[in-house]
Order: sequence, then structure tokens, then C-alpha cells
Amino acid sequence: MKLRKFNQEKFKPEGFTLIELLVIVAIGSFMVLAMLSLYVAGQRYFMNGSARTDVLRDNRQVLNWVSRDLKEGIQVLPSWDVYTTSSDCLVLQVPSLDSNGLIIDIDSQFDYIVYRLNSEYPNRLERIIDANDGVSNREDSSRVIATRADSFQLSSEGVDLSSVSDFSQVSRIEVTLITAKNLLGRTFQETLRTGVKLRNKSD
Amino acid sequence: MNLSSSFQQRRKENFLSPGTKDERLTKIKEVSKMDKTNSNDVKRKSVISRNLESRIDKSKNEEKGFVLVVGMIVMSVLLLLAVPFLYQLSSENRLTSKSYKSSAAISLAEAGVERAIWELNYGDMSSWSGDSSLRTMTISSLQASGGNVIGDIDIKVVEPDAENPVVESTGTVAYTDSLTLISKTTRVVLKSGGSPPLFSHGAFGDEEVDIESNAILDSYDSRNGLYGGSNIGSQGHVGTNGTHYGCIDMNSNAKVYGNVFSGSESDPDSVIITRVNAQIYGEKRALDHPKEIPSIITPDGLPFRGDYSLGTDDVLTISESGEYTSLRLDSNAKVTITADVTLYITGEFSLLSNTQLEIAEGANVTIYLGGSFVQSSNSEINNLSQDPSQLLLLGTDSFNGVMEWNSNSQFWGAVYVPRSDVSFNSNADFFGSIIAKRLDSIASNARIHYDEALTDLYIETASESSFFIVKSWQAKPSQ
Repeated sequence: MKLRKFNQEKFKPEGFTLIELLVIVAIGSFMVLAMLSLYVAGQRYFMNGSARTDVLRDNRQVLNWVSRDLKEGIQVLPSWDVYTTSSDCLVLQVPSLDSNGLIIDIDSQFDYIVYRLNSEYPNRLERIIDANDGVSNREDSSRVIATRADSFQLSSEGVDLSSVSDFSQVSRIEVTLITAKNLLGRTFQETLRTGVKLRNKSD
Repeated sequence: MNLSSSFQQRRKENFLSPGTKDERLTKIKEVSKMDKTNSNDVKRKSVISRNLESRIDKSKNEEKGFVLVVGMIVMSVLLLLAVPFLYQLSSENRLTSKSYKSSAAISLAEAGVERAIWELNYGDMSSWSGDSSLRTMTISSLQASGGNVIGDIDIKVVEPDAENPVVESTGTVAYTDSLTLISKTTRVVLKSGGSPPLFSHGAFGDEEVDIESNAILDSYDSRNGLYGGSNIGSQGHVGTNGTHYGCIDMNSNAKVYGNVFSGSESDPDSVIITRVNAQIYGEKRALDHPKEIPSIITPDGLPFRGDYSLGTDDVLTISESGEYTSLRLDSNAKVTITADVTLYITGEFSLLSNTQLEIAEGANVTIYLGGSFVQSSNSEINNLSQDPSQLLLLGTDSFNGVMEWNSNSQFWGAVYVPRSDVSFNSNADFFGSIIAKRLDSIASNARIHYDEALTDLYIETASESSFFIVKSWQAKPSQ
């Protein structure tokens, strides 16, 4: 009996005082705030990360396109149609392809590919194809391959393409592409650079 | 007494015995019951059992599970934070990994193309599978130097004996596991007509090379400007086709900043001798295949100029090509070549005391030697362009005596005298390349700086090798 009484006394419900409640509410809010801020930081980190990945992926994809065309290039032309090769415009002569995607005749059948920043929307990088109609499997087209291009710079052996006088000597091109994206007032930028040798250039 | 001690024993067991709380409680109750039946120990037992119960109650009160709840909340918050981080990490990792694997596959495909071209030019394709319409070879599990497997290469050569063989090489790399594969195919159409680079070494002796003490051979690239500073390389290769003991003899302190090659299929350790402190900074190895030393084709149809002999302070300006029976310069005489010319000297070509042969800046000069070459130590050959590819000295088959290279002034040029033995006595800087039948002695303190740009220099020779070069290249679209 004595034992039971002792236990009842110990666990007798007494309720909370105002101070206790206030302390609990304060601690609770502090914890909720801390978690919330952690969550927000985490979410921001995620968004930043995915923005950076997007920018990097765009850059890599575009550079892959450009370097693949450049590798197959026969020569860089000073101009073609209305396009003129400069530090941000590239006119490339490439061999025409048959229906299997194979080179037809490197000495006589050519297509032309132009890479340039759109004059109206300078963040858009365009790939324009002028195909050898009726021969090549390529089709005339103009396609925007990057919408976040901040800068597209071309040089050969360290010399800006706009300063090159004799394009017949150009056998290597360096491309520097900067892609950028704005997110919540922050700019994410990636700069990639590649050097490509024109593999089909005749000596 | 006995009873009391048995109680003590059980109490001790109960107190110490492991088990669940309920078991322990039951045991305590048993103890209490026993207490009631043994009045002598009642008081003491009730105190003990009360103490024990109070202990159990205490432990009951502590187990509120609060730590678990807090732990779970913290863990879920951390998980919430970790998920985007892991997601981003994995997507970046995937991106990088894919790009790396694609590059590896492209490199493997390129390596396959190189292998096929080498096999067509120097090797024997009959050991490959297939027949003369299609030869194939697979290189499985190619390993990097560290032993890591990179991937496989499949090489196909369509019509290897035709005028334009087609090489298709596919590099395959396992992506994340062995089931996901990344393949890249390179397709190359070949054409014949090229020839192996003639000036592939800084110094090459068909039969032997003797390098005296303290001589230095290194390299630079004239396309990057003059020798010096960052434009000093370690491609100053030395080689011979000789295969017997000591064909290349490097004396004390001689230094080669490049590879030293012994003849094909020879033992480089026996062919190449390095004496006290002689150093090879590259590799010592046998040539993959014998270096062809083709004859020079003598030029036809040059205007005949006859004998020219210049004496004291005479000055001659040459601006047109011509064939000379001899060209002798003596006592301060000077010849200036002002334009792109080809000179063919069928007899003696001598540059004696204090004479000068000057090549104006920008002029490309080729001098064919058909007789003899004599040079005093104080004569000069001044190639003002300071570009070795702009001055070629080529020996025809009749130029087969000893060529004494004595000039102690700097020289920029390429010397190819395949039937002549050269005594290289100069210890001034020699920029370019020198190829001879025997390089008898590269003098003490000589400094030969091989110009790497000369590998691209093409000279028409009587080369018999039918050499395939790339006509067209493309990354084959995936099917």
C-alpha cells in the first residue's frame, strides 16, 4: 500500500505553468525556424546546382556540335553567301554526305556550315547549313543550338579569326564558349574552350 | 541459517540476473512472497524490494523515447538536405563520366585507325582475319599504363590492297557497368602518295653515329620562334639503322634531350653505348621499322652557269636558279642569294677563309651537292631568315666523299647527304637536322638543336615506299 501511494504521489498530474509553456513555444519556434532555414538553404543549393549543371550541359553539347563539324571541315572560308568569318562567326566548308551519312567525294562535293551569334538575339547561337542540293543528304536549315550563349569566340593558333588574312593556312581552330543563366538575381556562367584540327584539310 | 543464506543467494541472483523488466519484477514479487513466509527476514526484505522497485520505476521514467523522436526529425531534415545534393552530384557525375567515356571511345577509335595505317605502311596485314577484300582485327581489353582496362577496339580495313583503302575503327568503352557500352566509330579513307618524313631526327647516321664528349642535342620548334626560353624541347632524337655493337657511341658528358634509336629489331643496349656520364633524357630503343634513306633526285633543266671562282673581296649576287660545275669562294669573297633558288653544284663547292654565303631574309634556297664540299672554320653560311626549312643542303648519290662541317658560326638549315660520311667539327649552334651515311664525329661541345617543324618538310626523293596518308576523315554516324 505504502509503495503504491509513493508512486501515485510522484506522478500526480500538475499541468504546465505559463513560463513553461512560453519556454516550450520559444524552443519549438526556434527549432521550426532552424529547420525551415535549413530547408530553404537546401532548396536554394539544389536550384543553384541544377542551374550550374544546365549551363554546363548546354555548353558541352554545343561544343560537341561545333568540334564535330570542325573535325570534318575541309577549310575555313573567309565568307559564304551573306556570312563573313569573324571572331564570332565561322564559315566552314565540309564534305557532302550520302544517305548513309558517309562522305561522298572530298575533292568535289561540299556543303557549308555557318556558326554565328544571332544579330537580333545575341544570346542565341545558330547553326546554318547550306547543303549541296540534290547531292548531299544534309538539308538547308537554320537552327538555334544555344539560347544561353554569352560569348562565342573563335581563334586560330591564338590569333583572333577577324585578324586572319589567309584562311588557306588555317588548319586549327580554337573555340571559346561562355554560357550563362540568371536565377534569382545570380548569374551562373560556364566557360569551355576546345581546340580542333581540321582533319580533312588538304596540305 | 540455511534458509537465510539460500534467500541471500536467490536475492543476489535476482538482482544480478539478466532478463526483461517484467521477469525481474516477477522475481521481486516472488522474493516478497518468500519474505512474508519468513518473519525473521521480513523487515530487511521489504526494504530491499522497495529499493529494487524504485530502481525499476526510475528506469521506466527515463524511457520516454524523446531522443528517438528528435533523432528522427534531425535525420529527416538532413535527408531533405542531402537529396538535392546527391541528385546534383549524381547528375554532374553522370555528365562528366559520359563525356569522359565518349572521349575515351573516340581515342580508342583513333588509335585503331593509326594502327591500321601503320600496318598498311610498314607491317603485314596477312595475319589479320579475313581476306584481301576485308581485313579485321579486334584488340580486346586494351589497358592503360596503370593496368586499368579502357575498352576494346574493332578495326576493319576494306580493300587493303586497293588505291583507296577504307579504315573503320570502333572504340568501345563500358559506361557504368559492363552492359551499357559507349561506342564511337571513325571512318578514314586513305590515299597513297605521301612519304615518311625525312628529317625525323636531330642527327641520323644510316650506319653509325659518334657523339663526342660534352656535345648536346636537343630541340625547338621554329614555328614558335627562335630557340631559347620556353622554346627548348626534348625531341632532339638521334638514330641509326645500324644494328651491331656500338653503332651509336656517346662519349663522356654527351647529352641527348630526346630518344636514341638503334636499328630495327636490334638490341638497343648493345648498339647504343653511353660512356661516363653520357646522358639520354628520353628513351633508348630500337626503331619500329628501318628508316628509309632514299636517294635524292637531281634537278633537271636548270640553266647552266659553269665554273664560278670568287677571289679576294669578290661579291656575287644570285637571284636565279642554275647548275654550276663548281662554286669556289676564297679570301673574304661573299655570295648573296636574294630569291627562292635551286642551285645544283655538280663539282666542288668550297667556302674557304673568311668567306660568306648569305641567304637573304625570306628566300628559300635548295643547294644540291654532287661533287665535294669544303668549308673552313672561319667561313659562314648566314641564313638570315633563321628558319632551317628555308635552307636545304641535299647530297645526290654522287656526293659520296667525306663532308667536313667546319664552320664555327651559327647555322640554320637541314642537311641530307645520304651517301656521305660527315665529320661534324663545328662547336657553334646548329639549328635544323643532319642526316648522313655515317656521322663520324659530332664534335666535342657541338650543339645540335633539332627543329621539330622539319617533320612536315616534304622533299621529293626516289623513295620506293608507297605510303598511305589520310584522304578523308569522319566520325561515322551511329546506326
